[in-house]
Amino acid sequence: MSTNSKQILNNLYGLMLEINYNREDEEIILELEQKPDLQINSHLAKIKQLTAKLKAEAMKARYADALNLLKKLKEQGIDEFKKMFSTNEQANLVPMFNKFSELSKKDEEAILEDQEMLQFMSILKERTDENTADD
Amino acid sequence: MILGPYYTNNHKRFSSVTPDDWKIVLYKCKKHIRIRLKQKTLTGAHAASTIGSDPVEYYLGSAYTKLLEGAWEWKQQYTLLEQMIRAIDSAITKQVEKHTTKKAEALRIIYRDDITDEFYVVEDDHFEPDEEQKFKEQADALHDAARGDTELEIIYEAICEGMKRADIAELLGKSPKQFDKLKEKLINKVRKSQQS
Repeated sequence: MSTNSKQILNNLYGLMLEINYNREDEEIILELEQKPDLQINSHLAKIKQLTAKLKAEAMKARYADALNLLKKLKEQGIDEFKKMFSTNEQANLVPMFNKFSELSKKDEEAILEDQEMLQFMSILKERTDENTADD
Repeated sequence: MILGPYYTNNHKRFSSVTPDDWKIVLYKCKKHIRIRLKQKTLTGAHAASTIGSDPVEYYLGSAYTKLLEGAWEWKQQYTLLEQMIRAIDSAITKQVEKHTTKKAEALRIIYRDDITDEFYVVEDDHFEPDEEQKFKEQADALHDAARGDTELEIIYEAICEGMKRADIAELLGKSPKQFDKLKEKLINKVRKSQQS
């Protein structure tokens, strides 16, 4: 008897979960416009804040990685890095690699401000990490 | 603040999530947590009392934080809502299992293909005798509310059988959306009967 009652209630809650999951988006937006939910708005603000913080953190990490890579490039030379790419990849990345051929202090600073170069250096870092893991 | 291993991939997907998308996900997850916790009390484990704070705040906050930080993966095949609900359910289950078993290492995430199948999973029996009476009263209230209305009686029988939303709607010859309204009618009748 009790298990049966429990089973019925469990099924009812399951159904309520399913109905909630399938509710129309427009209906919810309309409801929230008519009756704003403070808890949801507070979480929305937290999400925005957290997203911005994490983005700043990621930028900082990417910058630090780029600095480390520049140091490695100086120590090992550009040819060592080229070996990590296939011939095809190398051909596509020639303009990027050329920028590294003769680096002055000023060039390094420019690289660290260049978003495209930072992106390229992220790829380089991923590749060096993969190679290190393979070793 | 530490960026998790899934930060970059998750971030790419989050960049296309609008504030309205978030509102819908947060709204549904909030309701999901409330219903899920009521369902979990059927097992005798009161997850809400073991976490020491508002359960909606706790489960909602930790789910999006872990996804945004990249500690948890936003799996490619899931929408944000599905991923959030799976993360929340997993956290609630862990909380309940920690409460009911001593083996924290037994915790696991079960990924069923259809997320809605997970909504009906029955947990082990751990409830006290006084709660048995409470469940019986609640189930009886549901039955009483359905009496005298053919459609509601069909819905009650279907709930007893454990039928899912689409199947019950088909049984009634209605669209799932029309069925949702009928189910609301049943729940409202139960609420009214409990207030009087």
